[in-house]
Amino acid sequence: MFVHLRQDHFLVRPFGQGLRCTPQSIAAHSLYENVDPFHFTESSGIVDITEATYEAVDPITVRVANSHFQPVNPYTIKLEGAELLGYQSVIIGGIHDPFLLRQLDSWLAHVRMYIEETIARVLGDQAAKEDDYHLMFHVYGRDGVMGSLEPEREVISKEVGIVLEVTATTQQLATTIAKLSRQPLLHFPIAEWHGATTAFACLHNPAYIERGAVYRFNLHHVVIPHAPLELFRTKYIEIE
Amino acid sequence: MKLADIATLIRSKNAGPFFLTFDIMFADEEHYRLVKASRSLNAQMFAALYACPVQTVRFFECDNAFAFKFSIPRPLPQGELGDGDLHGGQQFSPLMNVEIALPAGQSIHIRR
Repeated sequence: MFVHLRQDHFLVRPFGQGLRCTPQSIAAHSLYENVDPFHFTESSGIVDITEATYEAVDPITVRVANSHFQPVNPYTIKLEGAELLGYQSVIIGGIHDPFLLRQLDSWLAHVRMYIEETIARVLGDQAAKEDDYHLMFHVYGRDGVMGSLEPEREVISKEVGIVLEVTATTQQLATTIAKLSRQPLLHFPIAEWHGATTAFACLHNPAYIERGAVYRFNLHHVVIPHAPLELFRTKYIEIE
Repeated sequence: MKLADIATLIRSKNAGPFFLTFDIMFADEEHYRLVKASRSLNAQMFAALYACPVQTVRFFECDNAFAFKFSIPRPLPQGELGDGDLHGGQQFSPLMNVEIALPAGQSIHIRR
């Protein structure tokens, strides 16, 4: 895009054969990935485009005017940060048994309990503390994509894909727990079938995949520095 | 008439790691104005559709863009344990079936 900045307006047009800007396309751009399409908070103030006007000056060029900048005092800096959560191993597979699918929540709860009891029994002190490990089932075909926002969670598909994520303080612990989880995933019974069953269609052999280190956002904070550049180091290099 | 039959684009996306934003866009001013006049899109209906508190829903009518926008806090921050959609791009489908109240006899150019 090419922009001419003028005193009280700007002109924007694209390069490229057959491309054009229209008043709508320029106005629409402020929606993308923004919470508020009219106000943009920066360190030294807020850009307010509530009253902005968009005018086609030719078939490919748009003139934008009447945006406002409200300086703010004090100057603010946004901080974002991430931290190590742990290490992950995952098991991917599916379930197609209609009897199981209609009681999936309770079956998964039983499988979870079985895994936790096995961990306590086999690993004892190694995984004794509550936050040493975390088990998460993602159920595709039910609420894998929308999670808590899914409005039709009760609709039963003919099959589901399941990803078990094990997150632990070390990769070795995550993988050990994934290995322990395989048994109940494959064989935890339901009342409808009498005899040995295989409840889970593993995608891989070995069943688990090691993902390595995983992280999470842990900082989203507005700082008010004493002076605007206080938080930044400035280095001067003289070039002869 | 369902929103997906009139809108040219219904999408969701992260707006930073802690918010989800939904855009509903139209090809021309005529269709945008019809939907705006119907008052079928508002914070209350979105809060009911997505089972979130109405005071957390921000709703915008973008007359120049021929578009509506909703923004809510993400149920989980991006990438948090349990997050099933890193980019927030697949959360919009409940909006597709929203009924738009149109005046009797109103003819609409159906998009698809």
